[in-house]
Amino acid sequence: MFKSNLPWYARLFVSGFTESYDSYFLWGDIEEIFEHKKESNGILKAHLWLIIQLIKSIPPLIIDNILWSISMFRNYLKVAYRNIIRNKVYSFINITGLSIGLVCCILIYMFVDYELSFDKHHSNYDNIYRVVSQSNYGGEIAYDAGAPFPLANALRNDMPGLKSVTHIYYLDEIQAKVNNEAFIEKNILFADTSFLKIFDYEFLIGNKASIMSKNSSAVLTETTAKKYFGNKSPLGEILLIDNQLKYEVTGIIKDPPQNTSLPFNILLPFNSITEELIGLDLDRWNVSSSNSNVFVLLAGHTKVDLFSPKFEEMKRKYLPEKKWDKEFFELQPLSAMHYNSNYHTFIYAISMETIYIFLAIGLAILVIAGVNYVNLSTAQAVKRAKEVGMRKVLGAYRKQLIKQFIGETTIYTTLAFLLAILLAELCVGYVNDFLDNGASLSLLNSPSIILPLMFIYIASILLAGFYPSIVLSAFTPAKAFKKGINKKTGTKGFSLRNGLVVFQFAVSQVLIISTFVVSTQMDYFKNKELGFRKNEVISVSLPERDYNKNLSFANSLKSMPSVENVTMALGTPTSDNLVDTRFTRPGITIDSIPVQIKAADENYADVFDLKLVAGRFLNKHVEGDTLKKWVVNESLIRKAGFDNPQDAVGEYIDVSRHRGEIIGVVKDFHPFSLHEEIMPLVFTNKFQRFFATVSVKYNSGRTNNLNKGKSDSFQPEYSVYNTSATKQTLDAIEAKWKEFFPAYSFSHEFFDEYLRRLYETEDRLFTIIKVFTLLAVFIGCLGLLGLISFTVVQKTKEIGIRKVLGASSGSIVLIITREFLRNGVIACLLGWPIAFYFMNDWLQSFAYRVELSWWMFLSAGIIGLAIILFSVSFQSIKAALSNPINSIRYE
Amino acid sequence: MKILTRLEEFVLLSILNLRDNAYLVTIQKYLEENTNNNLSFGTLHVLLKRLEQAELLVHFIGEATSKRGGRAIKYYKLSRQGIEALRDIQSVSESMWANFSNLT
Repeated sequence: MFKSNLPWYARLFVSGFTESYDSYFLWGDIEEIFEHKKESNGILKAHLWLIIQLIKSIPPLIIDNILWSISMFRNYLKVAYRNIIRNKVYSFINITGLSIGLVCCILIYMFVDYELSFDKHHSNYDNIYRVVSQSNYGGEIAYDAGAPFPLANALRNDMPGLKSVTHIYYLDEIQAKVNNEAFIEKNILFADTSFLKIFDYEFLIGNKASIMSKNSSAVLTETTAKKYFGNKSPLGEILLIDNQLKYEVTGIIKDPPQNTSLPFNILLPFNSITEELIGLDLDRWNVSSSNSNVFVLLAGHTKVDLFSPKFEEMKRKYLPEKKWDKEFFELQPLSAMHYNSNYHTFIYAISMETIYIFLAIGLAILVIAGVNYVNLSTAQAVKRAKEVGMRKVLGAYRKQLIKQFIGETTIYTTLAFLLAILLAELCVGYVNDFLDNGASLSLLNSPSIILPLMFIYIASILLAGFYPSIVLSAFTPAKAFKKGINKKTGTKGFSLRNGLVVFQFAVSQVLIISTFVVSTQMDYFKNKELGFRKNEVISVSLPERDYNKNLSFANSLKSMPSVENVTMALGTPTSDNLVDTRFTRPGITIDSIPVQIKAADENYADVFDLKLVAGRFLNKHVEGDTLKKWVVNESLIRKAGFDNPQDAVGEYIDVSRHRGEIIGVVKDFHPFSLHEEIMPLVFTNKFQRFFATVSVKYNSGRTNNLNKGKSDSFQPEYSVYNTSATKQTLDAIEAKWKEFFPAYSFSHEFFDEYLRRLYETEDRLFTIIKVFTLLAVFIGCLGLLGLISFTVVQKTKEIGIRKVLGASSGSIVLIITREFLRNGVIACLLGWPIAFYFMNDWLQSFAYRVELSWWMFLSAGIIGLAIILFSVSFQSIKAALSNPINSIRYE
Repeated sequence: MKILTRLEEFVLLSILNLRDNAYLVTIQKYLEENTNNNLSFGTLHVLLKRLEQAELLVHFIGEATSKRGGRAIKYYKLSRQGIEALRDIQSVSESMWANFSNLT
């Protein structure tokens, strides 16, 4: 043989575009010119010439290919149509499996795309950062996005290199009054003028420069303006916030998109914030709130690291020395805000892990559906061998056959795809409602989905079509017409098929186990003993900070018949209202330890059923009593180094700067969601200015039933809300409210409902994951069912002969089942370690978690094998019971 | 009678002129030298294929040589219909051009 000197890419190109007969000569022709050019112009120019020639040749060759395909296309279409009709079960399984898989993929893609699109609409997206801080006290790392109020000005004065700095403050739920009509408004944002320079908003009325010029100007979103003022012009209207602050509407902006980390309905000037309104000092470095954030805008391509030394300098200038090596400022990119729940966010956060889980499930579903297709089509190979042989005899090239089979896959995929798009569009509404993240996803509204859709489409065609077309087109005519095909090519295809079945089954195992683990963990969350009463407690936020007035309000509630007890406190046992500080033990040199102050009155322990393990709870506060008394939790006792709770009673600790005696120890309860560990708590009745909530323990008339059930879990007892006692109590509270706080509209919250909402987002996400997982397993089952029916058909003759020779029906079932069971067991052994690795990793992200246990793996295995047995036995019993005469005569 | 395109006409004429040495490389070169038409081999390949399908051309295979990676050459020759087609074209253009010098 002569060695060809043609570069590889040219060979690939030529044989890719032309039939083998043509490419033989073409190859030689090109080589001749190439060699000639190489001699006269040098190798570089020759290559250059060749590449240009190849590129110029693409259009005519492609057009030529298409023209040729069209003439054969009608024939292919006819054959594909006949195949679909002839093998109804097979086609049904393929199209259903593929389309369910595609629906899942499309929905997952849309969901992930939405989550990844957060904040991208700001043109400065890449250059906006939030100033956050990390602290490390004795190894306990805390993340804080709350900015002290002087921070923004300090940054403006001391930090060159920042293009812009803005300070924002979110108000908690508060009353907004318009023309004597009161609204409870959630997202009220205070921001200074640079806010509008850093972030992008579209103004409908008013303009950026003048809109926030006065301290009394307010900007509304379109929807809010409509809600308050209807269709009349809102300009110049007066807005009263919390009955204290007066604003004049100066502008309307278009509603910010749903996928923003900074949602708001009303925008107010930052300078109008008063200490009275928010209850925080505005000039102190050691006071911060997670509602107060500072954002900075950097010039493009600035290295964030450059700012570390400057932050260090600033820290030394403004913070006391003891914090210098404990607290660190950092810049958090806006692009990370939605995906990091360590730092407080104003809308739910979703971790990248969760997004990856979704992507992985989407991919797994697509692969499983693809594997189904590959398995079923190669299993069919025997049936189509004759067709392939006939085509080859009549002069078909292998390339044409490959094209034909890929074309067939394309037809299946196209059908499945059309079905999938239809289904996805129908389902997406439910998914929206279910997720309730404010997104209104729709295929029609998102043209950007076309590209990934095309990608998924082409990927699934290639994934599913490539291998079968190679296998099917490989038959040589002579062999195809002889009977030998059954043995030879059949087994070869089958071994890979076995591999794919094992793979598919292993993926299903991983998915089933993950579902078990996830739901066990979620159940654990919902049912875990929290350590306090949560049912039949109604909480009301106090609108004013006047202690005596609030006290008489609380006392007036106590006199109502259904009410058992009333307590005033900073918040409920699990609540957003926090006062973080640190404590030390006098005389003992331990690092100061973070602690939360729970300001509460003497009824708190009774209302929430807190259990005392030592000492007693707080007494009634007496005016003029200056001695500080603490009630602490077990966690504090341990951290402070006491041996047991009894020892601690009578000892002194310094909380912040206040020294006081420990008079009692309560059993640990969960002050946060179960993601976080229980931290040290201190109860005191000294800080009455913090009393912001009145909680009412009442009798709904169903108490006896409740205490028996899971009364301590997060699962709310909705039936309670409907009893007449509940309604009466609520009405009575509202009546009292109107008496004491006539200027404010009444709002209340059931404590259990609040607790449920802590896990709402997660609960929903995991339910969706569960549904997708089930679908994936279902698609896998479909494929298995189809594959088994083919195997049985293939073995029809064998079964018949065995029966004639005296085999029992049982042994025949066993023969068919054995192979699949073996595959199933191998798949379990492969899938379990993978599932163990991933789920173990996932559970680490929870402070309180279930342990992985053997039953999850075992039952997943049993479920899997049961599915195999079920689908196999159905077919194999049919085969085993059939009359041997029929089966031997088969073919 | 189907009228050939200019390019097809040129290709057929090149093959005629090249006599026994008409294959893709020489045709490409001939066209470039005489009509200044720099065709890529892909275009030319498809063109030749079409003309052969229209039975205006026939091909014959040459001997394999040590050049060209040992591959034989596919030579082209005009068929009877090919020559007919050229004649038709010639007569059509002659009648169309007949009065050219009188009118200008």
